[in-house]
Amino acid sequence: MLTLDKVSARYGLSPVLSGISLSAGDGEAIAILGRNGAGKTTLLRAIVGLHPVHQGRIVFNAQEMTGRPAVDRALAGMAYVPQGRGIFPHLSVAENLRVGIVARRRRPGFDRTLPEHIFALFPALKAMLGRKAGVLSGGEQQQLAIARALLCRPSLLLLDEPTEGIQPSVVEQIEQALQAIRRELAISLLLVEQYLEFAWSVADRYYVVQKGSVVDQGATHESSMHEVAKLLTV
Amino acid sequence: MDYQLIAGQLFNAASVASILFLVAVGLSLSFGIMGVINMAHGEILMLGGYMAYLTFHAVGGVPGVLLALAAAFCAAALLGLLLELSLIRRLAARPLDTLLATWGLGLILQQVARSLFGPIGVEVVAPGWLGGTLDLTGRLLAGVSLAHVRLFILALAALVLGGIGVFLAWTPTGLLVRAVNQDRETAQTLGVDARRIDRLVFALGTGVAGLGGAAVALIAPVTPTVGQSYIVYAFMVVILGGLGSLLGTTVAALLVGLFSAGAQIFTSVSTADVLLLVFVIGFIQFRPRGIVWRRSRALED
Repeated sequence: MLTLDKVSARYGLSPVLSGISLSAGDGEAIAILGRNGAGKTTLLRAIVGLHPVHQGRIVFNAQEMTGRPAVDRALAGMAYVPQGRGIFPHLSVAENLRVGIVARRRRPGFDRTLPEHIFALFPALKAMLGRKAGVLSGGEQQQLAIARALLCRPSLLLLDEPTEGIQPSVVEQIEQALQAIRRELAISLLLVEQYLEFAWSVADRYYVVQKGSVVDQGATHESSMHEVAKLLTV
Repeated sequence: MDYQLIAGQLFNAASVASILFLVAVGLSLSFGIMGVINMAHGEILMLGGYMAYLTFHAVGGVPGVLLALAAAFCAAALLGLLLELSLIRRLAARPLDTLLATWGLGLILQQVARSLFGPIGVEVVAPGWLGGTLDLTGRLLAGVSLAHVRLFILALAALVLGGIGVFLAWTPTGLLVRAVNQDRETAQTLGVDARRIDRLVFALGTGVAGLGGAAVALIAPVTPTVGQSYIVYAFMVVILGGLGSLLGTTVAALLVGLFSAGAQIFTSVSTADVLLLVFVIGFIQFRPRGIVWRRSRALED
């Protein structure tokens, strides 16, 4: 599904990612772990095409994506929920949800209706369709951002710290939603997360990133969360 | 109290505001979406003026007016599209270079106009029905006369405002424009072709400036430097209104029109200009992002 081959990226002249290789299979959930400033967000931005790759290759569903603009990658089936959620604050909830659908309105066979299963995953959104997205709480905005990404009918969903700054009860809802997304919609997940328990319960495999390189990887059910946690403490 | 003078100046204010709106709305939208300052925007207005002049020469009467507006819009939108494809797109990440390049282009366009039409202004002979005045007869307003041509321009600006408003609020493409305006990166990751939106908005904005040029041609001679006399005020409107806001641009155009017409009751035109600049400078001290600037949790994060 997704393969990164020795991907490097820089901010100006300083390297942020140095030779990262990783892969995600069909239907797999992968967690990217690491301390603040390890390069996790840059890694996701490089994959979706918002940060230029300096060296290396990105292949997605057997298509070469290196150097292609973000819109091409989105139309090829990547959906991205950025850190800070990236909702359109002055659009209503319904309009936020419709952006991805409207952008694909001329693609043959694309269903233009808002599907009900989105509201089954995030029931809270249904009552807020007419409200401006900027007035929603952080948790509601996060649910909106995930729902909006799903409406693009992706095969891979990339999430940057979906639990950041969100109250525990909503974190639980998001966890259940992500599990349902994998189970029922067969979408692969690539998750950047600081909240280790959350990552462990959602992901099949993990990669630990330090100073822009992968320093550890494994399957979550075979590895000790506490051993991995030691790599993440400052 | 001299009600006639005040009513007359209010009408002048609305008339000035309608032209400023036509010039500024394109600047504001493309500035909001692309972060691009097009210094050749005034020359696009000039192009609209000359197109109107040429069309009036060929066709007269009501069809002439409509054709002139259409020709001015199309020529200006086409030039805008070419400008976007050839220059602005390539310099998009370098705002200062864009500023310099479009300024240079503006100078070239002025010289082209000077070579083609001469340095002296060309006059558009408006059809008779635009030449008259509407004389008010109310008790307080008796004696106030409103020029048909200015009422026509006011209606044109209102129509453009309504049209852009409907486009942005109700059409699928309008939704994508608003999305790109609010968060370009996120819109792209949702599959929105932001570059296509850029081209569309830029061409629409320059087309409307061309309409503004045709409107100006109806009330004053078109000269190679006609754009210069409007562009400074248009930039003030953009700064006052808030970037990329249709409502802000409308309110700011009215405000600038009212302020300068109001100040002209008490003082000379040039002193009124000075006062207007002082007012704008003062205003942005208190509201640096313009009239329309909405708060949101996402923006404060």
